[in-house]
Amino acid sequence: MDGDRQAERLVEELQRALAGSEQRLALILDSLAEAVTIRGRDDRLIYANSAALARLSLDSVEQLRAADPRALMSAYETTDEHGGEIRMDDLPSVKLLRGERPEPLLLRTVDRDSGDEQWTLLKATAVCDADGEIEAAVTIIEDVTQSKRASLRMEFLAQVGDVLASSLDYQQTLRNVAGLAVPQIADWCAVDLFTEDGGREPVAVAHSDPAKLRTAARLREYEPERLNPEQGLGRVLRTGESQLYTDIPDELLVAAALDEEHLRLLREVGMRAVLIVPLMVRDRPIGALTMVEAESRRSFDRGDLEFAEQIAARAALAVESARLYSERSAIARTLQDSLLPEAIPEIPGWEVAALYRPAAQEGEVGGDFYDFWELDGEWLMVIGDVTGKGVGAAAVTSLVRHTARAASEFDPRPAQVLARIDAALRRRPTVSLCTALCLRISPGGATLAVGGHPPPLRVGEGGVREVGEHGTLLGALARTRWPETRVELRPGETLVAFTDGVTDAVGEGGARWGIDRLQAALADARGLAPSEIGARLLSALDEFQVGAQADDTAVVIMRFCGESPPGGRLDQLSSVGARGNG
Amino acid sequence: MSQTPFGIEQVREQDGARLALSGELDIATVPRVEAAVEATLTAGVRTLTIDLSELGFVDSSGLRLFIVLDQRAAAEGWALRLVRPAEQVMKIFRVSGVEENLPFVEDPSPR
Repeated sequence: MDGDRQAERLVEELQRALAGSEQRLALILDSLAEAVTIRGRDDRLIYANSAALARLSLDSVEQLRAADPRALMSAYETTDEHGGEIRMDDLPSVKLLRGERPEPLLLRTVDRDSGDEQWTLLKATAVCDADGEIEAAVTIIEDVTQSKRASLRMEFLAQVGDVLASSLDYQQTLRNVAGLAVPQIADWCAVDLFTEDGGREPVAVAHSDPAKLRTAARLREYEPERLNPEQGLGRVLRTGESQLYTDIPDELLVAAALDEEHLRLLREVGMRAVLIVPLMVRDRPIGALTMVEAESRRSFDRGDLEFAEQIAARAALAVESARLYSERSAIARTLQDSLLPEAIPEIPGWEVAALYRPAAQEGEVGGDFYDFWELDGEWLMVIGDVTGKGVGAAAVTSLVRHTARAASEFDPRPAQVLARIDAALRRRPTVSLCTALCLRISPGGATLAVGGHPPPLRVGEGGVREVGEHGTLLGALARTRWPETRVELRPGETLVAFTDGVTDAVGEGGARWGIDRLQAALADARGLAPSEIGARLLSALDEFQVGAQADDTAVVIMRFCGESPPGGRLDQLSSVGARGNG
Repeated sequence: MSQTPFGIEQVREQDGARLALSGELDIATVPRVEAAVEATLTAGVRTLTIDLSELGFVDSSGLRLFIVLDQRAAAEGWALRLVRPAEQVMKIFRVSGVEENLPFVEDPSPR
């Protein structure tokens, strides 16, 4: 054999081998689940494997080669993960052919026809000729829809959690959750709560287009008073099971419509899929989350249903916590009210006002209290502060009040009343402390004793002065003394008794209100009615304090009018002053 | 007048332990002292000195804390010593009659 023939044969063999490997390569590429495309130097697509052809809805590579690449792309709404539009020039393969070194690109594509949404990751690699010039760009298109959706859902659930935890106003938080769901999860989102009598209370309906919300409002008017246990919300209420409707033919709308207008509205919404999932609390549906896909042309699948159930589970928990909390707050308020007199009594020769403000922590019972009672024509008053909060403190407060009343039957002297309270507290199994001021009204003034409590202030001709001597905190101490002080008052003079919640109120920079500011606030209070003094104190405190106050506040204001009484005045300021810290 | 953040400094002394408190002792910060005391006692300390000289404020829950600790020390057989606070804080202990009932000492180990 001569050299020429040998060379010719070698070339033929090589060509055959190459042709074979090209075929084998095509076979290998077609067997891949990932779509692979090759783009030529003129930006046209010159090759696509089977997976890529299927994605593009093309039958053959010939069709692909004949197609305008921009037209192929225009069949989809193509955006990046932040919703920004992606053009052909942004694709990695096109960038590569321009000589750039592109990063992988995450794309969200929505088929303009079917509404199908997909997430893909595009990576491009250059194919170079013998001279190192880029000849073509190979793009591997990985379908990341499942993992992207899963991570978006995790993010969404985290957002839902944040929204639900942001407030105890569950109606508002449910509205916020519904608002969060549109349009990224569904076109419409609604939340209803079931009522005791099998009806429903619409709480939220959200759509990104306000015009559509008006349609929703009108559709709501067609909802029956009682839910139909066989379909929709009624079925969810009856069974506690989720409902998924992915096929909503016009006949169904016709069957469901109550009249022409109703049918028109139903058709206007253009529902493609509906899912309804229950809000379950202890195996009982308390409401439902409804999601509707309409104009986006998306649909729901089992995965969406499970996702919606996860949202509903969180929402149900939030509703339940809020309800339990408000129940607890109501109990706390009732208990607190039981620790204060129902009304300030009419004490002959005196005008009296009292105010009480709970600490900022709603749902807790505070330890401040006051009480007035009559004993053989004499009046006694106690104001105090039990250390601690909650039901335990309420029990101690109750004990102190009853002990004070009972003790006064034996001996009405204030120091003796305090001694009896101290003894009663000591008998408790745990250290129970209480400060108290006990005051006994007698002709021309009053006698008082304090136990660990701030002495009252006298507002009179001599200005604002502390009256009385300090005495021992009640409940635990071995060495005790409760000196009594007799205070003579002139008509028009006032005693102001308060708890340390007033002087310990926290203002700007952590400063406390303090006795000096309290005295200053009372400086020009002489001659004012007790209710007016109370209102001034409240507004001065409001002006000073910043943030949530840890302690509750009680003030009793008693103005001596003289021995020939004009009749006592009934003033309960706690109904005037706002609860909390305004 | 601005609020100093509450702080606890723990020092192991030869014959016991010392907790130096600073800032405002109130319903919010009392639990921190309780926890620190608990940890100290668990470590087997028999003499606990709590230094109040750097405290700026004490409320009624702070008073309760020291009263409870005093009773506990008597019941459990360990020694509690309280280093006197500054005058404006001492006043709260004095007017409530608590001062004469608690084991206040002048600072035995000035730093």
